[in-house]
Amino acid sequence: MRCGLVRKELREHGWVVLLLWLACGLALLTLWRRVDRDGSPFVSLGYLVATFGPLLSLAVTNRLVVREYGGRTQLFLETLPVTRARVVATKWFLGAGLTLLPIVAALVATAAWGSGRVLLTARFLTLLAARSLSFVLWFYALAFVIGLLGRYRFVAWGFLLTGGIALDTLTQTPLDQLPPFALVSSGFGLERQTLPAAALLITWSITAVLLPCAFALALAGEGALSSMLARRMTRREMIVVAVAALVPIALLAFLDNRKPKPDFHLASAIVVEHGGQKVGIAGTARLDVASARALGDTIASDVSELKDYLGLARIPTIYVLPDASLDGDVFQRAALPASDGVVVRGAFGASGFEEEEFRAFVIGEVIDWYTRGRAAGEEQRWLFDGFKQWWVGRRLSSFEERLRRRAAAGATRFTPDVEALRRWLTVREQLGDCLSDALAWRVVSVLAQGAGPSNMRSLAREVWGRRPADDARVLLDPSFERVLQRTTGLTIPNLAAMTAKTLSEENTGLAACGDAPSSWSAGIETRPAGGGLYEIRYRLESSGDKPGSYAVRYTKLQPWDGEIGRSSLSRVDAVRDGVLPLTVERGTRMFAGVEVRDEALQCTVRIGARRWVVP
Amino acid sequence: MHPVVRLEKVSRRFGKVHALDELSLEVREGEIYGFLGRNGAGKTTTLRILIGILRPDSGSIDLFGGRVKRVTVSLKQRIGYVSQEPTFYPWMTAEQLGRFVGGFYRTWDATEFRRLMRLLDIPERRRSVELSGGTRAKLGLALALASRPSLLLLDEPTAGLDAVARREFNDLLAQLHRERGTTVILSSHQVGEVEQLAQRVGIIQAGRACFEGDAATLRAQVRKVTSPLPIGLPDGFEQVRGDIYRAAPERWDSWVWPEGTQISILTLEEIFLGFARTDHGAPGS
Repeated sequence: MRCGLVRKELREHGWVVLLLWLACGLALLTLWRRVDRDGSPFVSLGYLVATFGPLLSLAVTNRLVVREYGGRTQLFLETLPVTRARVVATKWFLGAGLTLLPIVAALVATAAWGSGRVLLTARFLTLLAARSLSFVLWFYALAFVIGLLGRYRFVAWGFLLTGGIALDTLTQTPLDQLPPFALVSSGFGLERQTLPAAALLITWSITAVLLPCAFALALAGEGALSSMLARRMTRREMIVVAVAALVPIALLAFLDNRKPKPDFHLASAIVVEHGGQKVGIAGTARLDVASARALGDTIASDVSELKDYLGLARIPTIYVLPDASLDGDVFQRAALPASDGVVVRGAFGASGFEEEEFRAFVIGEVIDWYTRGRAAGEEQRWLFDGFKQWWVGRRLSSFEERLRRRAAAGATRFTPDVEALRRWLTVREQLGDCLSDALAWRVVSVLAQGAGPSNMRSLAREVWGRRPADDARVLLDPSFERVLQRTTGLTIPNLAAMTAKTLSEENTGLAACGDAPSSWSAGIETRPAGGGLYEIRYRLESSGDKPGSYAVRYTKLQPWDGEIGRSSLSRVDAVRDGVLPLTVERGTRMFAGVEVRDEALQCTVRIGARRWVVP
Repeated sequence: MHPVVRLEKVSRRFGKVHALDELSLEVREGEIYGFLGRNGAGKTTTLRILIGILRPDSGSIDLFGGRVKRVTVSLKQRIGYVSQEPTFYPWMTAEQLGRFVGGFYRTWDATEFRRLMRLLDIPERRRSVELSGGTRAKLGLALALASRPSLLLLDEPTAGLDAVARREFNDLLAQLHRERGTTVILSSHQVGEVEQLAQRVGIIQAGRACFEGDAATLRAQVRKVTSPLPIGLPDGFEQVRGDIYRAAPERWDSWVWPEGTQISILTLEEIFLGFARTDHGAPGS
């Protein structure tokens, strides 16, 4: 080493190194206070080595390498009587010393402080020294090489970081169990006997490769390579690097999303199999084993038939979780971030729980799962909503009759014309799930009748029978209306006209029955509440019998909110006109509607629903 | 006088670019050698080879009377170098730079460095980043001279300086050369300063030597010929460019030119421009 060069480096970077050493000492003192929790002061030392080792390495190499080459002052050194190799060697060994010294000091200090707390043996201390110094020296050697990459050093760090995350994410390889990280992993302060020979050997080997790499980079092209790398990036380079950095990250996220997830499994569930389809019912006090098996068998039968009808490939076991905390007419599907499958919840045995409705819900969720959620797209939503009802109702005349009455009731408030069929989410929002599903059922039943069983099946298979690609290829899929016309020969206007005719005939029957929903009306109004705030008042009116109680559903909306799920709505139970328990500012986007339970229809009906911006 | 530096057919490429193309030159002991060439002609590459920063691809180098394969550290101890754009450590003062650089030279003379700083009017305690371009150039010269080098390489040291600073620098260089007799290679594209300082001149163009000798000889050899009649290339004459010809001085006197022909004697700058414009490519530097 050149003394003059060492003196220069210490004069230039000494204060930074001293500050880091001081921080390292303070961190050690802080970590010692955790000794009761950690069990050994050397566990605390492990934390220090794992954090301050890399930190010191980064800071020291940044000062010694990046600053020298970035400032192009190495060109001045080249004019002096000293070889490049000697300059690099001086920097490398000086930096290694500055990085390792505080670690050695921390080890000695911890040994001195901890001698009364834990038994110290020469072997234990040797193990600690070997593990900590090898790890820190490896990281230092890596940081030195990357520092010589100049303007590409951040790219290199990003690449290594992304690579590490990719390895961890895609292969489930725990990095902290692999050398060199294994040297400072959880066993650092506790392992007293076993020498991690393989980890040490690998770490030393990597360090031994990194050292000549540093020299090669610094000396290549008579120093021209490192000098060229140290120049600032051009704008074009920045763009290329940004794109090159984003592509692997996006790819990683993409691959992670596409990674097959394990099927959901509930070991305690009662599993029933029918036609190759398994359904698991979780046990509950409200549902005895026999009822659970019967329900499971019915659902398995529905799904098994659906598989044959649509030509679906494998469907994982469907799990049904009874949940008494839900309303009877509320069914939910669980979001499964770590596993795959269809898991649904319903309040079995609760007031208002209808098994047919639940079966239709399960059918819908199976189709939704198989089509990766695309079946619920607005363009074909009426088909999706109506088909699941139609599937269950086609062999249950009582359920079909109920649907017919609901559809007729819905039609008195909303005609399923061409516009409605193309914007079915508006129909759902206005009528609520129950009436809109029934109206959709009516459209689908008209379609099934008009197209014939074979064409109906062709349509269903075409739109849902193939698992769609989970990427941009889905953009190549033909539009739903084209598929409808090709498979059934019907267009949306044809269908709307046919449905309107059918409903018109049925409305006559409904009038004769004297069903009531059309006699109810609701109002939602915004009124100033003072201080620049507004309150929202609701009222329910009826030309006939007024319901005893009803609910007001509401929520604040964001500009981009599309479909409003029922579970995302707040609820206020009411018996008379009132004010919602919130005040809003001008410009707030709101949705609110009144929901009334119509016992004649066995259905919760939504009235007076509106979206608006508080003026 | 013995040659201190002799290059023979030295070539150096950077990728596809020939920075030096079989360059030969000779610098004698105690002289100021003016190394003239356009930007990119190969002057800096030549000096960087001589200080050992670069190695030639081919050719031979003699330094201080001995053939060298590469410029070793012990040879660099005898060479002072002032670069075109000195990249001193910005946080160091002139005094600190002196101490730092002095640590690398066995022959460093701290007293001489202080004397030079006083002579060149360099503030001792001001950081190098705060110095003006002219003062930085002077500091480079002081640092290069304080080691008492046998050979001083000046790579366009006055580039970027204003006329006054350039004149001051050149006067000091001439004074120091008179005092010490150090061999100097002064690279420049400023013909005036080379003409003022150098005993001998080398003109380099596109990595090749076009001329080497003293300025007076060059002026005697190269003249401008203006004739009302077309003239062919007479025996012993070489056309430099257009109507500028080169020949041995005695040929100019002995040749019979057509009536009405005018022969003009050129300044060194006009001659340099004549050489410099013969080639349009300007690879390497």
